[in-house]
Amino acid sequence: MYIFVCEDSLEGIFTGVYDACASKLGHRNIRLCTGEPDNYELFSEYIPVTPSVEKTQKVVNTLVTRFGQQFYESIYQAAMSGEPRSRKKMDKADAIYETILLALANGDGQKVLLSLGEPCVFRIFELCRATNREACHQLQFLRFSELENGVLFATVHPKDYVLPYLAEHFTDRLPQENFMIYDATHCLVAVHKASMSYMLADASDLDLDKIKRYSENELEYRKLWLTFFDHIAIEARRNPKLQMQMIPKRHWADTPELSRFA
Amino acid sequence: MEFYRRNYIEGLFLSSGILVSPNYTMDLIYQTLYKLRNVHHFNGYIHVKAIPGADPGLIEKAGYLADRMSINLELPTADGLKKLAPYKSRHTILKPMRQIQNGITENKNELMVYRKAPKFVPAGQSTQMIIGATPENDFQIMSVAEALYKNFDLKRVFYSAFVNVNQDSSLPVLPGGPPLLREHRLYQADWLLRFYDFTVDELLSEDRPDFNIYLDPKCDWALRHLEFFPVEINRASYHTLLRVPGIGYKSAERIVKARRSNRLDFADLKKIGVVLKRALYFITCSGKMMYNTKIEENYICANLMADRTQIPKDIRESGYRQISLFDSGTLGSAAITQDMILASETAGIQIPR
Repeated sequence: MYIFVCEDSLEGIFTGVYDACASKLGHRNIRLCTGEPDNYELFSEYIPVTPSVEKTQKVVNTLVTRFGQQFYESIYQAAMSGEPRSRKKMDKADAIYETILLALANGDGQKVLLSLGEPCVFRIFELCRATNREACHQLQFLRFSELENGVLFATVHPKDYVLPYLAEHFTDRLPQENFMIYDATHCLVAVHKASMSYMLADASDLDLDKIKRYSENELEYRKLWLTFFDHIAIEARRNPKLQMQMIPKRHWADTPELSRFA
Repeated sequence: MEFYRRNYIEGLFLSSGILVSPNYTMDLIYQTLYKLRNVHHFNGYIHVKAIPGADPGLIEKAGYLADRMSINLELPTADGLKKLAPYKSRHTILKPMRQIQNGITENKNELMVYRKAPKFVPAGQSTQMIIGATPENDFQIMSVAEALYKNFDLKRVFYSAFVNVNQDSSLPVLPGGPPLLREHRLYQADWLLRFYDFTVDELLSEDRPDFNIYLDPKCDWALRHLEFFPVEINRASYHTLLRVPGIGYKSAERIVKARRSNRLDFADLKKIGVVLKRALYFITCSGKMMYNTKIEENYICANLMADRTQIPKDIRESGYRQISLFDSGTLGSAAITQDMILASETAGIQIPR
């Protein structure tokens, strides 16, 4: 058995897929693995994969031209999932590799994605669903606050890599605003300047003190919002359990109305 | 606007009591809408209330700016409306509702011809009914809702449990708090109407006018129609699958698509999202049932009732007490029959209704 060890990123995985296909070792003898394995197997050869932009582009092109944009997006969303590796579930990179092989054999990507009986396809479906849900949650629970210089700033802690999706959404929604979304889990920041498109940047040297300096109105509005939030509730219908189902507790720290209870 | 900028809110809801006259109020609402959209560039969702009795022209103008419009039906029957909201009449409510419906269909035709035509109430219209303030039964309420969906193309009917705010003497006093469980059952049935091709006559009838509080409407229906079950997962049509308790419309869709490539078994169903603890009594995979279960009303009912997530704790316990009264002689018999539940209901346990 040959095991290709890929980096946990789109580039890492797609380069792994490319190398695995190009190696001519026979698909049956190949597995992919995201990140360094915890436990090395006897009688298996481990092949490290160095991510390459060129190879990634080739894989993306093949997927888009042969199976359509939708297929590619599903694979992309699955690859963006940050679900921790578990021994019980199929490895992410391996699931992607096998699904792509199935699609290549079958010729119809959409059809392959629907055959949930296949373990690899089901895994893709599961990962996609998780990423989509996370993106949806983040869209709803992200809260901006206005800084001294008028920039809107938000911190999020998403499980999956959904920052581009968030930035896309808010560029469309607040085209005339300068805003920044800081993804604390992946240490990335999306920067948007009024009436331009957004950019992603590394946030390791973000000045954490500067983002605490709010504009003078900010706290006022926050207070107004909290008052509104408290008074809109109907006492007879209070249902904290349901509320927790709707807004899982891990989001509470980032939303001002709930961070009071966290 | 500042709330919107901070992503605190996604949209807003514009409503008002009648000030001076319906037309005057509607005009004020329209002006607010206009300012929000054109002066402050609010692109979020706006749900606006149409005021019964206002000029059709004003309602139409507001419709082009809002996402959703609604007129509250308030109470399901004309009698109830007369008693608790004497200033509103069935006629003034239904007229603008019809107008909005016509507006939406006309606009759809227009959009087919001119893609850039302004959109009229793109999120459809809805209405709301108050539950538990007047003596209507569930059958009447659901029939009204069904008629609204059929005749007025409503997107949603909201049911809201009656909460006594101003303690007026003509308003009823509900000892058990607002009838939230009844509201829940009505919503469940509402979903069955909209997504599962059920009709009200199948769920309820004149002789059984209220929902069973112990079981959700779909389980209840299935138990009364055991002749349709078990259903073979690998062959049954989409519509048949929809009627199985524990299979939602999404899982039904996934089943239909997934079985084209593989035969499905119970493990696959679990992955697809079918709630097997409810579905297992009603389905077969390749001719086999999951466990050796009987297709018998009392047996399935007792097992479904054992599911603790189905009903709130206090009611579950009150039901249990009542049942143990009947069963007092036999030790450890857990046979809870539907007839007994009905009996316990008529015996008048404290159920908030």
